[in-house]
Amino acid sequence: MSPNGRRTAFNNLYTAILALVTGVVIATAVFVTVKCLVDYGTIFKIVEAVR
Amino acid sequence: MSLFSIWLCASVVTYVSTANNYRVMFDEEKSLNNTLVAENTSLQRRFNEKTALMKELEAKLNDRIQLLEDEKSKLDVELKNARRTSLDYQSRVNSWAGVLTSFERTIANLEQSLNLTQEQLSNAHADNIKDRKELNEITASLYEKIVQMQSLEADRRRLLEAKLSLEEQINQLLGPDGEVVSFEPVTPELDVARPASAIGAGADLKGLITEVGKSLVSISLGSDDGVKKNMVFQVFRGDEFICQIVVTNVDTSKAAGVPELVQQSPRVGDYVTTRL
Repeated sequence: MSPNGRRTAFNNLYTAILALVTGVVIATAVFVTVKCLVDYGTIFKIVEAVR
Repeated sequence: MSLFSIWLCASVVTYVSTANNYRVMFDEEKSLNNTLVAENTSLQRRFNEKTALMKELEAKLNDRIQLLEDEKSKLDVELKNARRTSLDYQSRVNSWAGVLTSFERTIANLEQSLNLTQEQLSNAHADNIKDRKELNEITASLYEKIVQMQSLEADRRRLLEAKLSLEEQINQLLGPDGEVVSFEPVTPELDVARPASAIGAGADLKGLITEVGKSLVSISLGSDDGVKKNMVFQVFRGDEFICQIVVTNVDTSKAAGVPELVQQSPRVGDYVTTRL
């Protein structure tokens, strides 16, 4: 903890790893969302067969 | 934890990127299904059309089969009639063959009889020529006898005149008181020659044409020779038949008739006979 009471990072490397992982997760979510939109035209709805 | 998160994200990305696009596949299958349905409909329509055509064709073929059956029946009847006619013609041919055979035999017999008749005709012609020669000789001797008779008649008349003159001279020599002398001939006077008796109707008469008129022909035969009215004479010139003569007028030594069946105009000197 810093002298003015603010919490400080134990190590900046860990912060970078967390940022990288967060970016990877966000990119994965975006990729899955785009893929669902392109392939099925929806994100959460289950595709039904049209007769 | 961070590594696990990265691994999990990588797994998710890998799974999603390699997952099948079922929407595209559905669209493809749907379009394929639509195509197949359309094709099925088209095939069903074509099937119906073909079925209708087949029924129509079947009806036509049935009609044609019926017509052919009728024609076959007619042809069967005609075939039976033709066979019957053929049998009739065959029997006729057989009968005509028999008739032809008999005709051939008859023709052979007729040819044989014709040959015999030709031989007889040749013999008759030879006899005719011979008879003509004899007739000519007899006619010549007759003319000679007639001339001799005429000369004898002239001698007789001359002797009779000489006898009368001798009787007158003797009477003049004996004077008026003398007995009239008449001499009787030693040789008795012969009777006048008379024509021979009439020849029978079946005898053969032969003579010559002596005169030819416009419609009448005179022949050298008369009633003394046995010629009668309506008697028919055949006229020949050599061996050639000229005509027939039907006697219409008969005299003692000649006759006249009308020519018939004239092949050539008769001439004086043609030979007439009653025998063919």
